[in-house]
Amino acid sequence: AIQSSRFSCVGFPLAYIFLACKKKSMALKLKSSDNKIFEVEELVAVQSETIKSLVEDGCANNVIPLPNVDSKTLELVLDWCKNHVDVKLDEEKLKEYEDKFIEVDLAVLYDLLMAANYLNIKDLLNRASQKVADMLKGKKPEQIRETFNIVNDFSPEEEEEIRKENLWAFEE
Amino acid sequence: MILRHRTKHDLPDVIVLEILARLPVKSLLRFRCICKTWYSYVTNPSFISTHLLCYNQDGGYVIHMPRTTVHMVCLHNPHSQICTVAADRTLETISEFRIPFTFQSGYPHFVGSCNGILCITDFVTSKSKVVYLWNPSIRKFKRLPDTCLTQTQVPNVAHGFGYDSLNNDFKVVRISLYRFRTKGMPPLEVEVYSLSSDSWKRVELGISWRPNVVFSQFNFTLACPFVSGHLHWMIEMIEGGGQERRFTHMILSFDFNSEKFKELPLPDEGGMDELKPLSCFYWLTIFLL
Repeated sequence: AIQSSRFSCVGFPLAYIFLACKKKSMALKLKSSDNKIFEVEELVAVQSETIKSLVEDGCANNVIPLPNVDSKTLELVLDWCKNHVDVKLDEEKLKEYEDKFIEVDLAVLYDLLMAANYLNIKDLLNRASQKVADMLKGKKPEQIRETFNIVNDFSPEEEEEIRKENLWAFEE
Repeated sequence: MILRHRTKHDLPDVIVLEILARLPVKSLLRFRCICKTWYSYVTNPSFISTHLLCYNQDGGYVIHMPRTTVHMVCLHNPHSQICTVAADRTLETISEFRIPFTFQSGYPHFVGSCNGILCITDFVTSKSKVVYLWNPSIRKFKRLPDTCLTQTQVPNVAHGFGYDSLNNDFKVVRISLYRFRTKGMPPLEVEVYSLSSDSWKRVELGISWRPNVVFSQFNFTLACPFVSGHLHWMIEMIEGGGQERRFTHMILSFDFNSEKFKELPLPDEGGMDELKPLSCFYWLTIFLL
């Protein structure tokens, strides 16, 4: 017992310093568009380049308002950031997490895309864009127009002309 | 699933472009007819460059094409002329394409590929000098205009295909090497085709040729590695005559940006040793990997 306590004497200060350093990461307060306050560690929040530059400019002492992100989306985004803080995380586990995270419907993906773009979180933007692309790639032009609420501004003749150029691309 | 029920505004351009950059070419060709804005997104040259970088980031493709050999030509035994595109990680076949054009000899020769474009010539260069550029993913090909050189001899011809990153241009270089050196004749003639100008132009060798070379030819059994914008060929030569005669090699390097040639030194000057220049080429090939 004496032996082991001697070991822990050596171990204790190191662990203490380590924890103290970790705790030094300041907590930031983020306010969603529906006025909910999220308290997050700075290390988590600065994965957003937008928030990072606010912190660097010393504008992060009070609550940071994020008028373009609602609380539901912000919660998701912060969860993503928490899981991406430690880059040394097991790659397989991270991939598993990302695959599960992105398994949402198009409406949620839309919100995530908008938030990732506004907050400038590159890996989330990439992953969400990839997911949408995977959902769209087999669709017909008519389905895309409906999904994105796009008005076809080609005349029927013009559209026919474009289709004819690559008829094979319209085959199943 | 329908976004308009939830949102009052459309996705911003920057996000739409992020999504489009991750779509396969077939989908993009189909989506050109969605509206004028999407048409202009997809056909924009800077989007095409982004797409090239973005799409398939997780891995590339392997294009497999049967190789024509002298035996096939001699025995009149043409291959299937079908290219197979496979994923480079799993080697799983993605699609197959038949070469959509034919050559006078009946035997295509694969010159090289760059950014998804393949360059193919006639295997028997003495029969025809026709060169095709082919982009299988959009199923389009282009026959290049005829040569700008008038040649009296039948040369030993090497082609090279590469990308000029300075001018965002694809180029084909054709080197006509005259096997037997005759006085007053250049050792070789070079022409370069540029896709942006759609024409060939003569390019000078610009380096001094070894004076005592009596015979030279390309070594086509080795690969012609494309490294950092330069293409490399191994040339076998015989220098001097009589007792002094010796076999040597040289590596000719062509810079696709500046269109200038360079002779690369071999690892060792021992010209008789066949293995040394070979190992140098292996080195180049390894460098490519």
